[in-house]
Amino acid sequence: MPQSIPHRRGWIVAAIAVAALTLSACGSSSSESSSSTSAGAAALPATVNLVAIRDQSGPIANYGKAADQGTQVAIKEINDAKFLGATTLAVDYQDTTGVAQTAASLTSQAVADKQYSVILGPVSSDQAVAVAPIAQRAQMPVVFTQSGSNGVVIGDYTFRATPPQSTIFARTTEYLESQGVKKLAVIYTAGNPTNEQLGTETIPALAEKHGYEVVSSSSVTTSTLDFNAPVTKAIESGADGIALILNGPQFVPAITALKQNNFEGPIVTGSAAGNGVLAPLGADGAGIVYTSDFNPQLQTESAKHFVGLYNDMFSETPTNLAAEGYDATWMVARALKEANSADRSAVQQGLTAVAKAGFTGALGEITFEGNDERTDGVLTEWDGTKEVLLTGDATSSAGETATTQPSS
Amino acid sequence: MTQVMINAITLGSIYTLFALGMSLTWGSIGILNFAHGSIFMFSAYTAHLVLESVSLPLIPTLFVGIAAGAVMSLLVQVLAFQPILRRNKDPQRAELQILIAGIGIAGVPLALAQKGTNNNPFGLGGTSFDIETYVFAGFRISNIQIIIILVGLVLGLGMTMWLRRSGTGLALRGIGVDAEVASLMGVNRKVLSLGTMTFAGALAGLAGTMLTLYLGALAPESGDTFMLKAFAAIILGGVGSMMGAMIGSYIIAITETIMLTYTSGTWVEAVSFAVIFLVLLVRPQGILGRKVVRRT
Repeated sequence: MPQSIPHRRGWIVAAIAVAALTLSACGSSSSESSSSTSAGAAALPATVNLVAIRDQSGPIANYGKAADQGTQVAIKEINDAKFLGATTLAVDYQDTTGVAQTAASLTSQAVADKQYSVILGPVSSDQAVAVAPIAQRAQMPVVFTQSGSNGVVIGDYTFRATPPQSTIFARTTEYLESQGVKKLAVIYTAGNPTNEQLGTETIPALAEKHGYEVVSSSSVTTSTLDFNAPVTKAIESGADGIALILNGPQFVPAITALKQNNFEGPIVTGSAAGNGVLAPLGADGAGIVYTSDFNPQLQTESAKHFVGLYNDMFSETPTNLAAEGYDATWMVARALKEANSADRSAVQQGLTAVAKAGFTGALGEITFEGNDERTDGVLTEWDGTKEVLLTGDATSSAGETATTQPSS
Repeated sequence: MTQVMINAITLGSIYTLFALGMSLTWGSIGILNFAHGSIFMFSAYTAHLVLESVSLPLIPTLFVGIAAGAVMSLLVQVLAFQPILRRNKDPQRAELQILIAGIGIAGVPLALAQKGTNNNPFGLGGTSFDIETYVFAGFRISNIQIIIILVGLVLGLGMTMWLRRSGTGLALRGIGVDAEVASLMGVNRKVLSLGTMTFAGALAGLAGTMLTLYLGALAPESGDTFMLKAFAAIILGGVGSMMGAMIGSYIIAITETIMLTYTSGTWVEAVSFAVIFLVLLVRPQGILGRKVVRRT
């Protein structure tokens, strides 16, 4: 769950969107290439072009780059295995620079450019909510990763290959229950749609279900770095557990403030606390638990398969963001095979069929509610030096196939 | 309420440390340095890099940040701002170009830190300084909070006195009133500008390093957040007044802390800036700003 980029001028996005739709409506056919020539021909062209519109620079470049790397792993695997027969997949990687207006503009260009069959969408909610209406109105299939807020999956052309935090946060709630927490304080970042939804809707609903009380709920802004005020409020409310639903850079200051105020109860967070964000805390952060949809220590065949491929290509351990990018790309490949066409409407139907059937990916057994992905989620703990998968999530899931992806 | 005030005064001292350097250059030598936030962040990042190699106690850690800030700010002045001033006879045009140059320069340390940290927060875990929290009559305050409050107050008051009483301070104020006349009176503007920028950078470095110790980590983008607050504090307190910058910082911090503690955080920015707006309606020159004099 990446931090939300401040988007002060929503009207600019709207203006760009309108302009872009106008452009796309008037788009010339001169840019047609291999993909478009097959439209309606019920056969895949030699190359199917996708466009990845994600952050390669800016505050959450690490999110976008990780997703792009996951896509690269999938593309290599798909092409090497000839999953689409003689057809190869190619991806044009474009940089949103962390700005929603840029994401909208790039989407408009992609929509107008007939060579692209599918968009691999941005990882940030504020960019995704700008991109989704453009793609939907232009009937361009788009598969988002992350972007967990409302307003992203808004129609039959918009898909999300990451389970929203609200659907996997129950894992954290179960952990709090196991720790005997009865009174929970919530500190969340207002202005980030995903965080706001978790802080104001998901956690209170889960609390009611699991029999503990939310005794304090404080919102902070995306620019808040001094957390002493909300931490004081949380401690004075008598909370014995705290949920921090914040943007990445806010976790260390918030947890530092909790420690400096001698709070010793369980602290839980969402997946934004992963991927090394807690490292500056060192031993002070030991015991912080967060929920995510993937952990590279998972011992499922599908996870091990992906981790191996990723490690071979980049000589590093993948993050959940990379795993999501990998699964999203495989979802598109399956849809292309299902559709046997690079035509956008046919690919949309293919994606719908894949979502309906579900598949096994790096994240495990993947199902969909409509066009929105669902997985079980895993719990990860920062042990003071590294992120470790909590006991119970490291075993193979029942019924999982030995091979992650289908062969051609 | 006492705990809330302790938190507010700590935050106000952080804003003060950041705003003093900006206020000094803007109010005296007429440079509104939009790279101040980046210098603040990159000084802390430099300390972070040094501490990855060697563990240092508090004072040497702070010194690394101060030195990094001073050197960066001096380089900005020598390589960017002075050439702009030299080539532009029109002061307003020069000010505008300095402003744009500052924004451009700010991107360089930001990009370097983003690249070096992979956009993750960085801390000063390598310091041997341990943060301890003391409890007095139910109120909590840490050793780093005490240091920040003391340093903020001492530097704020000290700089106010220095500008009012010392010869160098008077010379700087003279430049702020009328640079041409000050030069005719024997004030060496170039040397004072270099010294002022170096000192402002050192303050940014001190603020960045202390804040990183206090918060546990900074993100590469954190400088931007503090730029906005410092800008507001200086305008509220009155451009050119060190005491004004200090008062502005504490007003903003107290307003923010009370809002965060007792209401929704959503309203923090709106109410804080509404307070500034109301004050400026009554005193457009800021709380301690002067009507007649353009700066200082």
